[in-house]
Amino acid sequence: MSQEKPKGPVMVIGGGIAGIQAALSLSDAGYGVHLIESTGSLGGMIPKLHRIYPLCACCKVNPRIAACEQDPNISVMLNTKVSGLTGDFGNFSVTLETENQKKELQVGAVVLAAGIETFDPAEHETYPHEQFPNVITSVEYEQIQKPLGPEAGILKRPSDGKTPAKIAWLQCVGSRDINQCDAPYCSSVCCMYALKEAVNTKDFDEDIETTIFYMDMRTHGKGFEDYLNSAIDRDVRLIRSRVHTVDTVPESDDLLIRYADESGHPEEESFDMVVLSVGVRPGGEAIEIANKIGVNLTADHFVNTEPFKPVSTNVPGIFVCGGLSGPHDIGQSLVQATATVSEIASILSPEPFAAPKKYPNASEAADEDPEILLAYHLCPGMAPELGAEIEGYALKTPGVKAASRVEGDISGALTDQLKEAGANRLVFASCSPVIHKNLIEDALKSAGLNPYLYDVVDLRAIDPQTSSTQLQDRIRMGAARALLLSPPSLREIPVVKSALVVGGGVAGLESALAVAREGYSVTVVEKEKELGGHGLHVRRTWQGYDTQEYLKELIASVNQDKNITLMAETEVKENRGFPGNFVTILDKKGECVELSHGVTILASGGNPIRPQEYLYGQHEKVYLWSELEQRMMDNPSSIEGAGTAVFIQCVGSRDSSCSHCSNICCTFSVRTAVDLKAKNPDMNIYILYRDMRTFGERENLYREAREKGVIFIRYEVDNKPSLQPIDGQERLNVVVYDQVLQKSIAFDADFVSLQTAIVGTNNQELADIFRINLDSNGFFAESPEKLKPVDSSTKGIYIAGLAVYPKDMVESIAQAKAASARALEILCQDTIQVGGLVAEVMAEKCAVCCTCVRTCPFNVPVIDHETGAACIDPGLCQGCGMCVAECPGKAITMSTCSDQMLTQAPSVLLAT
Amino acid sequence: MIVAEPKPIKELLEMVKDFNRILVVGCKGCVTVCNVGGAKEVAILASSIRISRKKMAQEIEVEEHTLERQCDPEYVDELKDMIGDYDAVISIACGVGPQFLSERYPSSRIFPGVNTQFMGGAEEHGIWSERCAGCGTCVVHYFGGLCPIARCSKSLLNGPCGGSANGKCEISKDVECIWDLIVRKMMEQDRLDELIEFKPPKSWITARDGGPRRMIREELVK
Repeated sequence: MSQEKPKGPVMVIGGGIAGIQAALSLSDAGYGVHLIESTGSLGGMIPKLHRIYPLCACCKVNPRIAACEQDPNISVMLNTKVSGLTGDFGNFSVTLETENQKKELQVGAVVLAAGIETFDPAEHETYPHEQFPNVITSVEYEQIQKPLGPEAGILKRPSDGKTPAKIAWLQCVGSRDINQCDAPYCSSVCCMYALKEAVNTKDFDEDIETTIFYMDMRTHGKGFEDYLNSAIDRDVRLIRSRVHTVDTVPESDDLLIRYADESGHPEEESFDMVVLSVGVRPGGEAIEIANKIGVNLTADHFVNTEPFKPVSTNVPGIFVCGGLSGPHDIGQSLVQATATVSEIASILSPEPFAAPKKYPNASEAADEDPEILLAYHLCPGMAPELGAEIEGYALKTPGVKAASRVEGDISGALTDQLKEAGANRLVFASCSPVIHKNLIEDALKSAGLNPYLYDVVDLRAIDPQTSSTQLQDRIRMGAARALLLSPPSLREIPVVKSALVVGGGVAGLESALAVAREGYSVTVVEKEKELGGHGLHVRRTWQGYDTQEYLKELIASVNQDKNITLMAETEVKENRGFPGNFVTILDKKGECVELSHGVTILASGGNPIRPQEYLYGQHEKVYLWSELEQRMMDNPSSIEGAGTAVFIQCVGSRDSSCSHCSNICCTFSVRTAVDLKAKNPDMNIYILYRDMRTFGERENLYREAREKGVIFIRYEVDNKPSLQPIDGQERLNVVVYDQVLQKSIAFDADFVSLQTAIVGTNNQELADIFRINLDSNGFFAESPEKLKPVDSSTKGIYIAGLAVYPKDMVESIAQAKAASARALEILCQDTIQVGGLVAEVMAEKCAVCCTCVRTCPFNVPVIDHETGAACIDPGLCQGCGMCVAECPGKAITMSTCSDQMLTQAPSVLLAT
Repeated sequence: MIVAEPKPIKELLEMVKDFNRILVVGCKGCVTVCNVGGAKEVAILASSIRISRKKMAQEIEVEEHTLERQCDPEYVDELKDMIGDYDAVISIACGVGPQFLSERYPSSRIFPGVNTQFMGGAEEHGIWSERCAGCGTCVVHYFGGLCPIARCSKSLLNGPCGGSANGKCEISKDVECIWDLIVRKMMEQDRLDELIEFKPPKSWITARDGGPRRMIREELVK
């Protein structure tokens, strides 16, 4: 099958986080990548930000930028624009323009990742960004907050440099507005970033009053609702109002905000600063190109994607990811970027620019007396004299044979210098050296050395008062530690070329297909009899696509795929092993099956909870939303003929028992309401909600619903609507307190649909079996490394679908494809290296006391009865060092962190 | 295994305050397994002594050594070339260790570094409990495999007594009534009737009451 695919490199247009991720993932999959960026640097929006929820941004993005620049399979072209694209899938010809040059490139596929721009409030009359210096955009505010920005992280207002005591954020500037902005959609990310900016302001100074003026608080993503609650706990004030006037307070630089509260009562309040939470729009130039090459756009001018193909455009071979295809957050952009790789792999064979790297066999040099090369890398902002100081001192330090500077290609330079100096240990000094870990280890391997024979010296956060002393201490320490390093043992173990997919819903089946189509065998395990999971109850996606039709086709193609083995009514019992080599015990209707596989994809799905309130289970006209969908599919007339329908949102969500927002319920209700109105325009439909979270382009559906006469009534969590059965009738009486009218209103309903919280199916059980972490809401946690949204906390185990967080079907598909792309990165390797930074047992010292067995957080150590000692599998060991510290017999060691290093530290530090 | 706990460091420092050359001796047997007397604890105790002396600006030399077992003369012998260099030896084996060292090296000053507690096992990491009182005549098979001698506060053979309430012993809410467990276990095994049979008073001659014990296994002795 793969022979028939055309072959070629891929072009990624746009060097923001999505483009960078797409390029890196494509390179990992063996493709040569042209990464085109129109500005002078990679990174896109993120380097402009202070923090990305909830982290500092730069340290997570910079290593990826460095990796792009140093990857021989990625050709980065900065200050370059795409001026034309012709040809077909497999054979596109792209015209590129730099300042003074035109160039043609042939590529097999194209990924559009040109990202977003922020709304420019200059034209917006209500918010006088241009007239008043203390009215700034959120991006400008991030710049002020950045420790490395022009204000060095000291919060001052622009007009007079005063520390602001009161700051207001105005939401939906350039979003949810058809009058002034031509942006009817919700920008999806602004509520979270305003909360983050307010909380970071509180971190800077707890006494600054922070107020957010908003319409609906849209914290619909994974962990977002918890962040909202923590912001409220930090005294971030939330006022539900769209501000109509921002004026100056006479004779001062302060700003006066006039607004109406929810009951319509006019209010005014002055603030020192006003931050406009500007919305996002697709990158203008990218949209021009997309238009030129015939890529369909949505009504909001984002790139349109095909039904159930979240990263495919209408033009074969042209894919899209990130903000260009809609207002997405960083996590979603990364998911889509990774998903493009899986889509491209299914139609194009990779054509790399460089042959896969071959490493020389490890030489005997490591066993000789240690001799150190001290290499250093300086950032642009560092004083140039620093280099001479490092070199001068290093050469006087015991054990250091040579010292030199590396620039540009860090890995290549280190390899050459190690060979030239004949050194067998490396000390690497730079700002945050850990981010160069992969490059350092690669260099040592290329120089024929064990990749773990290095230590690092951090040049960051050196106190300027005593900089020389600190620098010298750190160099002395690094060298002393390097001298004590002994090479840990390494082994290559063959990769089992197959995957296990847990869950036969949409996410599971899509990921199984994506892996199987690359020629690997896949076993899909499903607990129920039937495939389809929660998708079986979904009638249409929010865009209006027919889900059941799609699901039928999906199940059919899975059934036809010879590489896929389906095991229904099967549950997972046990799992052991490590990436490339897992063994799972399955229970297939009572029969025990053992399965070897190289990777695992967990897509075990989720279910709506069954509530104890709103007469559920007591009155036959109170439906769960999945039941309503089922009725609308099985017997539509029974629903469509109703005179009055009521939808109650947030049933069991966003309260003390289940704190997360279930993401899809608001959109479900407006989608269903619009569909019902289309069938029966006379039906009265009430949607009782707390915040309408129709984020992104789903907002259009919300608007459509209102235009069609659907009535939205907001209720407070401590004053929920109440239902009463009406005697002698099948109908119900509904009473709800209307916040706008400030009184209770009552009406009769023919049926009530409860949009209940979605929770994982059996996440706790699976998390225990697969030794992965759950988040605070009981969903699978993402890798603690961050910015890896489909990686679980354990390598080789990937996560997708409702079990990760409630999300709509199209997002689940994107996540499934991303998970399979990550899984393929392991499956395409022949062997996987184990060992290195892991604990090793000295059997002769072991008292088989079980302390390691009991204290290991990953349950790795076992007592091996043949050797009569504890045994720690180097493939499973996470290198945390817990057992090394706990072993009462001192029988466990880690070569990179020995007792000797610790006990010698004081004398090394005190020596001068 | 024999379970012990460390002596308070203050008490140990007081014991050896007059000595400047100290040997800390660990044991790879039970006390390693119960995390009180292995190589790691030897290193921790030695470091603590060094730190405390340095704080007082006093000279100190502390050597660390861990024997395979301190209850076998062959291993105790290992110290013969070094023990003379030290004026105090702290043994962190069970109570057997310091005595074997004292007997083998009569001129050395030997100190115990741990308080030996009981014969028991690990419930989980860090929690141990008593199981055997070494009475010399094992009877657990009469009591559902549970020992009332070691685990009943009164060592009753015909329990429970009136102090058993809600499964706990009257001496403390943290102490299980073993008789409660014995009765439940016998009910589970459908053997409750066996408990009706009176158990006559036990002969304690085989226990400590018969005086210090010594055991000679003729078949093993040449």
